[in-house]
Amino acid sequence: MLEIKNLHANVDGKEILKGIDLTVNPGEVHAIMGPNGSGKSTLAYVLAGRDGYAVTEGSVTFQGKDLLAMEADERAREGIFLGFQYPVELPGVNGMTFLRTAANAVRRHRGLVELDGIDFLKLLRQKAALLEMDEALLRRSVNVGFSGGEKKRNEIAQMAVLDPTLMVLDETDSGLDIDALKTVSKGINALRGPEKATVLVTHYHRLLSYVEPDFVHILAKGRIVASGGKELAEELERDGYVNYVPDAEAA
Amino acid sequence: MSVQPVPYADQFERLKPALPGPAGLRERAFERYAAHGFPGLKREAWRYTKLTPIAGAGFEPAGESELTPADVAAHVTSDALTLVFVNGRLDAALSNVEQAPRGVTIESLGTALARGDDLSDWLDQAATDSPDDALVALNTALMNDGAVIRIDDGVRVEAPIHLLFFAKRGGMAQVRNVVVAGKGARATIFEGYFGGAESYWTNAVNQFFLAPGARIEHARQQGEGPSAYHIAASRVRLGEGARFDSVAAMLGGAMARNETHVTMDGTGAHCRLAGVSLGRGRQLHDNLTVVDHAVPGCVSDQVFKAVLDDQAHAVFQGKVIVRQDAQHTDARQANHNILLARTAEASSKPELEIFADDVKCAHGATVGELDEDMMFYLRSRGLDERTARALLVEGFVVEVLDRVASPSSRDLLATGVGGWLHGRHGR
Ligand SMILES: Nc1ncnc2c1ncn2[C@@H]1O[C@H](COP(=O)(O)OP(=O)(O)O)[C@@H](O)[C@H]1O
Ligand SMILES: [Mg+2]
Repeated sequence: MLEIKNLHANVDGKEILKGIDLTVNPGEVHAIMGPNGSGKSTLAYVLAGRDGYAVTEGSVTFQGKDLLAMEADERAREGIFLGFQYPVELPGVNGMTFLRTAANAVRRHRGLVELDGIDFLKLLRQKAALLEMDEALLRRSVNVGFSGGEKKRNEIAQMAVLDPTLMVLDETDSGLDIDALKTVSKGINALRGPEKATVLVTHYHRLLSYVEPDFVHILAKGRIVASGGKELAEELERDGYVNYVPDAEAA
Repeated sequence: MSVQPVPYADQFERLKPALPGPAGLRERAFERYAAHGFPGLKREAWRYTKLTPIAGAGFEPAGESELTPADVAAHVTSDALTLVFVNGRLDAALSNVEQAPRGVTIESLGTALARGDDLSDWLDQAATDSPDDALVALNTALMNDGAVIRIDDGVRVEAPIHLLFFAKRGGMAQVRNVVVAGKGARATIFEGYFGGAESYWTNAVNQFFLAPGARIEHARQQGEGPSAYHIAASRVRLGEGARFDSVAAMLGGAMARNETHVTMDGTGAHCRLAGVSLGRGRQLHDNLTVVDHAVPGCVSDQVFKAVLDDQAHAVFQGKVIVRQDAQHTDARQANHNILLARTAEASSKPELEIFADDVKCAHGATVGELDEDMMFYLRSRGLDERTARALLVEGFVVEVLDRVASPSSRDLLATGVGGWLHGRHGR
């Protein structure tokens, strides 16, 4: 589904990703772990198509198409969803209007009928319930005045409405208490399926006990320095990153 | 010796015999105007707005013109008390104020003056409030119509009052609106200006007198035609504990000015001034506010925003004066501008004159493009660039519209704003 080959990327003229290879097949869950500053968010942004993240070498193919040739919004319509580490506040932008516009943009692209107000509301209610979110929150300006946990739930609620093929979740677990973590994990698991894939970016083991990864990769200084199964995450939980990043303190 | 006559001297000579009300008031005003002439760019308050096109055009009063109910239907709200003015004169057939409750009179200035009502004290106050404002003086000399709203003590006018001004076939309209709210009186007033493609000039002066405890919610929509000049000056006086909330949308006109002066005469007065300017083409939208905290314990809260495309230019000059006695003043002012094109321009000039020491004053101004993080967030959800921009611009503007409590005023403003947004940034 997703094939990353020798990916190099610069931010502000500085090379942050230094040759990443990663293949994600349908049905798989991959965890990307690594200390702060190792390039995890950069990788997530490059996949989502953020301006200012310049790919200097390598290729990314998504469902047979050249991902890097697409604008951010095309990638989203093609089925990539980025859950933000820091969801952005949109003052004055009504949550319902925003999400319905987004859902219909995605649906049009997939050849599905657009949802009218009533059908959209039904869908949204169902997803909000799954994430134990107060529906009133979704009627407010997007993310404005939301707590950290509410913002992360909102990311997953948006994801549930947009129903992506590839979920890229950047530190979705950070800032969540244990109950919120369980709810968010339930939301993620509900969207998994044999045709879908997940990339979880995290530097903690916590989330991985609720959303079990098939593969774990360690990213350090812009490179994947080790890959393995979920036992790799357990090892990191025990020993920290010292074995992989000599100068990293135990995380 | 030959002296070049001031602009509009000829019009004044010809028109004054037929103008209603006390002639002395008009003569004195014209002399004040003539002593100053049209303000030039050297006057700080007028440094961005070149008035020579208005001075040079020598506009004549806009002629008689008929509008049908269908022409104005888009702006008329059934539950409102409405005065409709066409080319600066009342159109009684299109107006409807019959349902006005006891204790309030809503009529045209022309009607009140022709009946012999002595409004001199109110009208003269314009000179006291703006001693060297030539265009206010010219308005006093030439004013032919507008609305006079008088609300008795303790009367709450539940229905919104809508004052609608339509321009047809060019010319000038010298509009004077006077609102006198008694103690504890309450009303909602919407003021809208609309016009066609011709070149014309609206010179409007509003006077608001709020007795102690009175409360006025004011909304204004400047939706003039693309070649219009619109000059508006509002003078607001607030008694003890009075409250004035105003939201103004500047949408139309080739060149438009909206000036608001608020004077706190009584302690505990409160005013909120908000404005949103949406400019494109070569439009100039010039906003100027002066809030004078003359007495202690008053609150003023201003938010002015602009969204500018093409070569449009928006100005915000906001002066807050906190006089020596005005302790415990709370004065806030914010001006935020979004430029949608590199050729658009925003000028922001806050000015604080603070002579008291125990006060809270805050101001901030920003000029920038749409926020990149916000744009990326929207696009990462599948929205194309155009739609994402439209949503963000709308959100930016909605924050101002949300200050309007009256549903009918809000709907009217939202329709005007929506028209602008979808004209250029439609989905
Ligand atoms: N916008 C930016 N401008 C400059 N440097 C950046 C920017 N974003 C990230 N970086 C740098 O790139 C490196 C990787 O950052 P990031 O991808 O956020 O790491 P992680 O998500 O693993 O903590 C860090 O050294 C960071 O300082
Ligand atoms: Mg990160």
